[in-house]
Amino acid sequence: MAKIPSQNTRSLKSFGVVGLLHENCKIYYDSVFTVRHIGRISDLLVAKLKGTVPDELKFRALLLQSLYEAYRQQNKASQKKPGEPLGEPLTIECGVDGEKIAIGISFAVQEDELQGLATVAHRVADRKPSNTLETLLTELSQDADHLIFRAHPELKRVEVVSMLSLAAATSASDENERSFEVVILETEKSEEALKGEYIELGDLDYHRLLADDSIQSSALPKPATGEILAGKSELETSIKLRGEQQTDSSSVTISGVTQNISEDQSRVSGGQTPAETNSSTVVSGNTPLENKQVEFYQQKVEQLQAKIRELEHQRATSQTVVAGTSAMAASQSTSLAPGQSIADDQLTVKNNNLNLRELIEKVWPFKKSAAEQPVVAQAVAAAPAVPSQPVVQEAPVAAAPAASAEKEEEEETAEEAAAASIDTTRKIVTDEVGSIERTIAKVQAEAQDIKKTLGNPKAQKWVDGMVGELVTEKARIHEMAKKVNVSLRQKELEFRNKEHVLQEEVRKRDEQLRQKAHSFNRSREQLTQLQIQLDRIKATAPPPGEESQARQKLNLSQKLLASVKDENQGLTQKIEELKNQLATAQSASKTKTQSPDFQALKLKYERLFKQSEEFKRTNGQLMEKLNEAQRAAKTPGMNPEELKKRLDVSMRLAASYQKESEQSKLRVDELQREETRLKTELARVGNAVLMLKRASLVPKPPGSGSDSGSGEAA
Amino acid sequence: MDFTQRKLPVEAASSLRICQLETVKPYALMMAPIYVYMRRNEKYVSIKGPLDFFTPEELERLKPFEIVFMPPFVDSVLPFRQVARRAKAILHWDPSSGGKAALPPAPYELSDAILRVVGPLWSPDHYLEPFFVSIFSNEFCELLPGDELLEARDRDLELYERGIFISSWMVFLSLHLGITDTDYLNGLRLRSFRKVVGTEVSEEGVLAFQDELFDLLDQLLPGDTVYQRLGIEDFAERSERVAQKIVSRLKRVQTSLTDTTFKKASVWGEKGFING
Repeated sequence: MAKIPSQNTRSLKSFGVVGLLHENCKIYYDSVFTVRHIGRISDLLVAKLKGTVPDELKFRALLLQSLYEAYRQQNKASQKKPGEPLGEPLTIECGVDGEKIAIGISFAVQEDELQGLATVAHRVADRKPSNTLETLLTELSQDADHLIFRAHPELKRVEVVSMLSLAAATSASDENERSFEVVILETEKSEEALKGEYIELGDLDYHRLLADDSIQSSALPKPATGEILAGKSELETSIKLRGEQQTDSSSVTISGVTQNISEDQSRVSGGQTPAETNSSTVVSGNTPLENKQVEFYQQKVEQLQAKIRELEHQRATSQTVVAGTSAMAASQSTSLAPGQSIADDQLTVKNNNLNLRELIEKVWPFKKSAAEQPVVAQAVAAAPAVPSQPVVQEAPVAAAPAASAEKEEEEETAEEAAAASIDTTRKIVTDEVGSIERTIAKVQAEAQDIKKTLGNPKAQKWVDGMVGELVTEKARIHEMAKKVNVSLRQKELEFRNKEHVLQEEVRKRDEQLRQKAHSFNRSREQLTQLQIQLDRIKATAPPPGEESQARQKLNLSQKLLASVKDENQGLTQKIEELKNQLATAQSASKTKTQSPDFQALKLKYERLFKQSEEFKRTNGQLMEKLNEAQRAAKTPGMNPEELKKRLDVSMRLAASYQKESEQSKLRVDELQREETRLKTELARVGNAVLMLKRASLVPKPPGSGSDSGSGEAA
Repeated sequence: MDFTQRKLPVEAASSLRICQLETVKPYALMMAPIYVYMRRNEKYVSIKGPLDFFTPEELERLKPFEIVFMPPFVDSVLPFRQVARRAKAILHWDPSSGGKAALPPAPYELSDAILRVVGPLWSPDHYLEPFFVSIFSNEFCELLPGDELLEARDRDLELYERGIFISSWMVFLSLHLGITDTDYLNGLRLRSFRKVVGTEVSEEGVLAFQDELFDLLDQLLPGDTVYQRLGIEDFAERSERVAQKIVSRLKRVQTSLTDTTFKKASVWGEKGFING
């Protein structure tokens, strides 16, 4: 009997794990095109099912093995090269209910992989697979508590569902309890789809789920060296472990609201902890901690700048000293006569002592003991005044170019000079030390002779003291020489750095110069092109003779324009005059039309019109009377003779009225004719005015020069 | 696509949006009716309808106009185009391109990011009209081949529009289902379009996912209903596996990703282009 029997499943006859689980199942799913992220997917699934999965390793093994083989098979089926993205997504489904976990992956296979489906269960049980697909099934069947293999031969599609029981104690304890089931699906979708709660992996809170396994600050052990409560530096507090960083969901740019997403901000975090990916967060101003850090760094920068200034100052002084030393050496070699320098040993020793002391006084603020003062004073007094004075005076003069150099080229040369002088100084120092040693040896030998010759113990003591002082002086000089060497090395290093910087600058300048030269060349080329174009224009321009003609034409036309303008002014004046004339003529014609005859006729016409109206009215009254008479005639009891008389009278009246009306009609006709005549006269006057107007605008004869303005006015 | 106002008076000038004709690519589906100004008539005359496209010859012929005009309706379409560009940028993001050694985002991270970007496009009542989905997919995917578009449009306009709508829904819903491979989505759109207009030449391998989603859409939007809007309730009524997956994602949109300030867009009514 299988541990997860098929009777517990809802449906086997359709793809998907939903049919193998209860109704209240949850199915986590995702689609992949490559196997690049299957590790992260398995991580997320394990994190989500933490506490549910009895054997995490087995779960991961089943998932990864299935995915790997599914990818290979589908890649082969869609004839893609290994490693290429699939043509169809691989959908991973991981369903869980109260009893079991089902990991299902469906994929396309080639036809030859589906041969002998009826006997595949036996081959898997006997562990004798005939192809790669059966090999996968064999391996999965060893780990899964229950394995279901669905195949759709027509679609060339299969699904492998590995199931794990949630009863951890008994899981995989007995191989006999494992089961394998093969389901061959038909073409039609026979069964209806089943309900389940589907959850896309992207809908999970994957940041939190995957951050669970990282190091939490609370889990860190307390430090054995003690807890510092106050005075922690800000930098220290800002340093945190990855696990300590909190995921601030508000800082994630993709917030689901389209308006808030600007194009340059919408990015996706590639890592598991969004707090690490700066690209996916929006920086909205500095935090207080950042401000403090900025202040801290600003202070640091100020300190370093002060240090640099100090070093610069030191370098300047050392340059001065070095220049002075070299000048001193030069003056020493020139000031002494050839025979004098070697002959007088004592003088040499004194000179050496003096020069070296001067050098040391320049290099180090060396405080000499009070006992030594007379010796130096003696030496100074005994020494000829020639070499020492110019050295001290010349030193700043020699160092002046280096100190006051502003231009970098000068600085560079000064650097080179300084480097050269360092070498000389070093040489001088070693020479000085060697010579003083030689001098001391010589003094010691001479002191022995003097001791022998001088019996005076006072003199012997003085000599001994002298020698002792010389020896201590020698030791001190040795130390000083060491210090000088060290400082020289430091200076050398500084100079080298400076040289580097200057070289860089020189290189930049060179680059700029090159660019400028390039731009200069370009502008030159442009200039030449412009020149060429200018030449072309010149070549295409009309010859000078034509130009003069054109000028003459221009002058002429300008003159003509001026004259035409004058004429225009005259014409406009004339037009004004004519307008006035026209106005007077129009007023005259008006008065003409309003002559007394016309007015009399008009009055007559109106009167007649009124009369005709009255006649019409009386006619109407008569007609009414006639009608009444007719009605009365119809009525009995009326005299017929009276009626006849009345009729005659009325007939006469009617005839007379008719005549009058005809006469008035004739008069009206006459008046109308008179009116038309007057109208024609008025039109004639108007035409005459127009003619006058046109006559005023007619162009003058050619001799007068008004040939263009009239046309425009017309 | 049909629209009401074929001509606009000159007074409409103040509300029209101007588009440079040289920026319009051939065979790109138009977001709104396109008008040109006829000087003699003093009217704006439509030359293209929504979801229509310009051929290279047409663009060449219309070159002297330089600019074309769109109604204010286009403002409600622009967010879809913008979001499509963002979604595309997310899927094409390569963290190692800046010279840094970084792991590319996992599929579930991409799926999450895409849903956060695309989710707010659903109106506050969680419905979406196919026209806007088409605009999204047209911007998100590569343009459909010109010759196929031309042939489909000339043969049967209704079928052409159905092909555009179904193929756009396929891409849009696939993104919701966590499919984040742009090459696959481009192919999916083309195959779906061909399947609807009946010009599919050969099936490339076995495409179970495509078939599942295609069948669902075919059943949800049969015949003329392709112009209807789709929403969470339409998918919730279905029992198919892919419908259940869509519902689970839309529930997340409903609960946490709905943008209440986002104005409901529609092609119908006064603010749309079908208002007669």
